[in-house]
Amino acid sequence: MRLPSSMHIAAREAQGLLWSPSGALIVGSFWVSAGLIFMLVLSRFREALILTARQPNLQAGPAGLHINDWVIAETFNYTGGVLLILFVPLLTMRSFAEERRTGNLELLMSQPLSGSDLLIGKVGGAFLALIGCFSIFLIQAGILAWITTPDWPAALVGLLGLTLTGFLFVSFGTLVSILTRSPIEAAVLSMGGLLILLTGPNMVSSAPRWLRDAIEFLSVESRFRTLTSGILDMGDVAFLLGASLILLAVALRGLDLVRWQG
Amino acid sequence: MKGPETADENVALETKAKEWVVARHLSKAYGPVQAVDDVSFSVHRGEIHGLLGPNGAGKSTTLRMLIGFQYPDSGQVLLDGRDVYREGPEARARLGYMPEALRLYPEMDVRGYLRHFAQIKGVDNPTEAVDRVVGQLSLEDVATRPCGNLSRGYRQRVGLGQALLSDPQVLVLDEPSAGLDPNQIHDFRELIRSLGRDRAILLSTHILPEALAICDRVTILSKGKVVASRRPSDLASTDESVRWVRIRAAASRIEPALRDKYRLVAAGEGRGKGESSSVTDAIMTDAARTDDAAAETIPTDAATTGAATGGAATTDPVTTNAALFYEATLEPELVDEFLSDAVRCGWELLELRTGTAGLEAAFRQLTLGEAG
Repeated sequence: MRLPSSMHIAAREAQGLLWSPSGALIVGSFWVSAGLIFMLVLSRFREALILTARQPNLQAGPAGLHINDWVIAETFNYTGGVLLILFVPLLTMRSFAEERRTGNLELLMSQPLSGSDLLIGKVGGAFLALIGCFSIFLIQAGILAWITTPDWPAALVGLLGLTLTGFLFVSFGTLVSILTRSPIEAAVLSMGGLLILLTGPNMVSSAPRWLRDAIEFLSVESRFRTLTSGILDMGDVAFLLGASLILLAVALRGLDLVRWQG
Repeated sequence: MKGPETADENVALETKAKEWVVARHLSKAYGPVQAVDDVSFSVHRGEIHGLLGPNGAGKSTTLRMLIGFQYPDSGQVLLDGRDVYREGPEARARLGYMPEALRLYPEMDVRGYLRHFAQIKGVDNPTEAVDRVVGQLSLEDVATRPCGNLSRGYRQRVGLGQALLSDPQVLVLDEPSAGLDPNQIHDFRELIRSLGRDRAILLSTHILPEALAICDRVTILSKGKVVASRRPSDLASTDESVRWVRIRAAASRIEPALRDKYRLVAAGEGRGKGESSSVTDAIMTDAARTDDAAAETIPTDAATTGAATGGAATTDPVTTNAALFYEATLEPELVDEFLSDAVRCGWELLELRTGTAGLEAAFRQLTLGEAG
């Protein structure tokens, strides 16, 4: 059976990201950073447990101190709020900007591919590399399973939220990479854009209520946090997927723009 | 469906069917700069067609529009009858393209790289296609080597191999022999000639001997326009009604009025990237700073070599601010006047003969002549 061309592009893209020295550096740095975050939230959880044990009059909340809230959700929140903003642009910056700079985009666009084949391939490759980065969570899950018994379904919902947010960020980063000519420029603009996308809504607390409600509705962060806390809301899933698809549609128009500009 | 009714129509249809590349009225502007202006030409099956022009003439933009990488502001490109812009993937399935400065993916080995492109092109049996191309281009020795470690010659071959994977009807090659040594150039030309027997090949080059050696037809672009499209032999044929002269003189001795009058052009590689006529002036201004005595001290060997190679050695005089070679094609009635001016101004007459001086002179006349 012959695979679609976009799958071959995705495979090469992911291979280039995961097996090249710079790609290995990116993935390795992600693993180290995610490991440090995990250690940090785990040690905070331990401190909270000790504090609660020493002072029984302190109330830890109706549900007590739960590993899902204190460790899993927090790990995902830090990963989504910090690591994805830093690392996704590094994975997507080369996808089009580097190809354009080296002249390979010309070669790729002379192949019997549609714009969507090429886009799906490039986004797919960066997303596969991101999944490669997420493989660190398997080790973390193993450690948690060894020391305690987390609520696994809730943890999986959190991972789904992180993955969907990652896909949204990859779509955004790819769009920026299409519109720029230098990978560094693409990375910087993507980081700035993602920071605004995730934290922007928090900056308008003094806005009128209707505006705050509208922003809250469109906020990526609130939907991401709902999912990472283990609550599966299909509206949030649809929102993150829909936003990604809109960005990809804009990216496809961006490829058309490249054909006009040359 | 109504068929052709006359023999003429049959011939016309047959001819049209053999036109595997058709570019019609292509135009493209970058802001105020008209890069390509109403360019039309066609390439038939079995034809090797050269696209010539100085830097900035619009060759690259034309090629980019032909392969579907870039949209024209107006015009149409057909590859084997399919519109490159409306039927993109289907039209490009008939195309093999080799860019000038191809950056292969450095982490992939040659076989893996070729296999990757065979898969992208949707070739039925990628392994077989890769084996065929590896054999055809003698890549066996480097087939398992990472692309990042290849020499320029091998990179060019891999680039051509990538273009040949789907056995395309149309090959578009951008400066295919750039950076190759003479042996490699010879092999490459032989290969392109053999490939051209049953394909339509369009190659962009600024190496005139290459065009003369392998092209069946050339289209010359200048300032975005087609200034000539014919057989190289026709282009270079001797026109008995004119006189061709080559002189050597210090730039300071070429008065602008005379330069314009005789349409003298500086021979050789004096032009810079992206510049055409204006650089002739720049060279002259630069050279004019030297005194005439210094300018006259060119060793005779250098001058002879320059004349013999059609200007290849003339870059030295330019860079050393010494005398320059100039050429012009004159109407016969201007010759006496020209000789008088040559004596008066101290120009050294190297050659005067009936007819033009071949493709190179024709190229210069066509692309620089108006600017003189």
